[in-house]
Amino acid sequence: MAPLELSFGDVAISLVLMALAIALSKLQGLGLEKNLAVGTVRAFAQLTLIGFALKVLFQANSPWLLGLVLAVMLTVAGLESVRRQTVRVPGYFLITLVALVLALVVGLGVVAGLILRPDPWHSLNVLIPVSGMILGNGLNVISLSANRFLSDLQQRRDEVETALSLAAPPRKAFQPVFRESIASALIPSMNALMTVGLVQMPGVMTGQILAGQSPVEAVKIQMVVMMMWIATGVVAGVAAMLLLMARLVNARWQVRWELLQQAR
Amino acid sequence: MLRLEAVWKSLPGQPDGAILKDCSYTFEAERIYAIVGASGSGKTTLLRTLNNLAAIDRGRILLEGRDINALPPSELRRRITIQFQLPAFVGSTVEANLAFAQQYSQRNGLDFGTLLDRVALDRSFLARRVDSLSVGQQQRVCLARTLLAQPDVLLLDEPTSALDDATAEIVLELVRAISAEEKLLTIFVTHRRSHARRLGHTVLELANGSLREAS
Repeated sequence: MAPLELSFGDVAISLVLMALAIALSKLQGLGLEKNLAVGTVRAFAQLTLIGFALKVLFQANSPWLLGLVLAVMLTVAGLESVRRQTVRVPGYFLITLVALVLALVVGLGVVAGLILRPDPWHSLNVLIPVSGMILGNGLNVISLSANRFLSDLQQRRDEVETALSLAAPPRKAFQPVFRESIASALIPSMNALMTVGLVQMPGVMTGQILAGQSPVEAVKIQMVVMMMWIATGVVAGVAAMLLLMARLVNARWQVRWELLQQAR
Repeated sequence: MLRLEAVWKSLPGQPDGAILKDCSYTFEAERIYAIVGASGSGKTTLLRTLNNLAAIDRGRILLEGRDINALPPSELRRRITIQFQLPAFVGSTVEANLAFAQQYSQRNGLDFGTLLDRVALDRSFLARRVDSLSVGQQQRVCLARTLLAQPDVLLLDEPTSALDDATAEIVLELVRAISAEEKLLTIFVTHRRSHARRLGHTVLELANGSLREAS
């Protein structure tokens, strides 16, 4: 099968689907019409821009450019993670950055360094999409686990302080909150892992097949992506929660409750 | 034994200044102190500073002459234990709670059944879920749990506030007996002056940020 090539006219036809969604919203009084319309325009504009930008970037293909693009992606991810918090902690932006960099090092190290082995090593057309997947999922896991961690910490304050007052070290006193925050943040990933190929056809695989790749080849890439996606999510979540814990407890084993601020 | 020297402490979001102001007092070993005071006067905060769950702003707290900030946190928390107003648990069963505390205590090989005996609960409670117990029973489990640490100082925050009179009576009597047997310095906070007078060798009033002996 020849690779699929779509004209912009073809893409525009997909707007029929969005028109259907907007009509349904109007008919059922959901009040989502404006957001759907604005979202559609934004998505088209952003994706068109990124399509052209990536084309230019891939052609230039310099390691400096790679560094610059990663820095921008990391900053946007960090800011987005801060924006999603209902309880604010000073230093949280930095915590997110460090955790995401760690996930990136692990993910790119194994996937790009050992499996995909692009030539030259800094091939943007390989590293940027892979980094995007790592950072996007890492951001989700960190945001979900941090939200759960901080709200649980406030609700289970007596339990945590009881453990501390029984001479348990902070790592042990925080363990239930820590464990549940990570476990809850990983539920979507776990569901995806369990049902992949049976219920849902993941995006990478679908895209590959539609683009004319053989399903077996598409599945191989999907497996690599899936392993990377889950593992880097766990790395990002664990690193961020350990750093958050270190931020919230001092050397005298006191929880610094004053650092928790309700977001406005 | 346990000495506060010119301790200052303010709480975030407390507009009217410090909750402990230049507070000094010396608690002697093997005595029971009852602290009374209006709600919001800083009784709980005072207890939290004594085992260093909350940091003080200025001044010093000394345990047998050593600044508590200079003691390793694990040692400090073993020697000065605190029990909160509402029982809080670190495991689902009574046994899990005792086992948790034992990991960090220096009392090894102590039979949990014997320990429960000390707080007037029988061995069958070990397997019980803590959320199936009455508040009075929960308080006693917490007391047994703190005893595992073999502390020098026992801090109790309103141990009887959620209990009916008869159960409060049992808990007070237990605290008295255990404090004597274990030779503890016990400091307990209460809003019931009758309980304070009954149990405390010394009754202290916390008002305007400082402690003074009540008449």
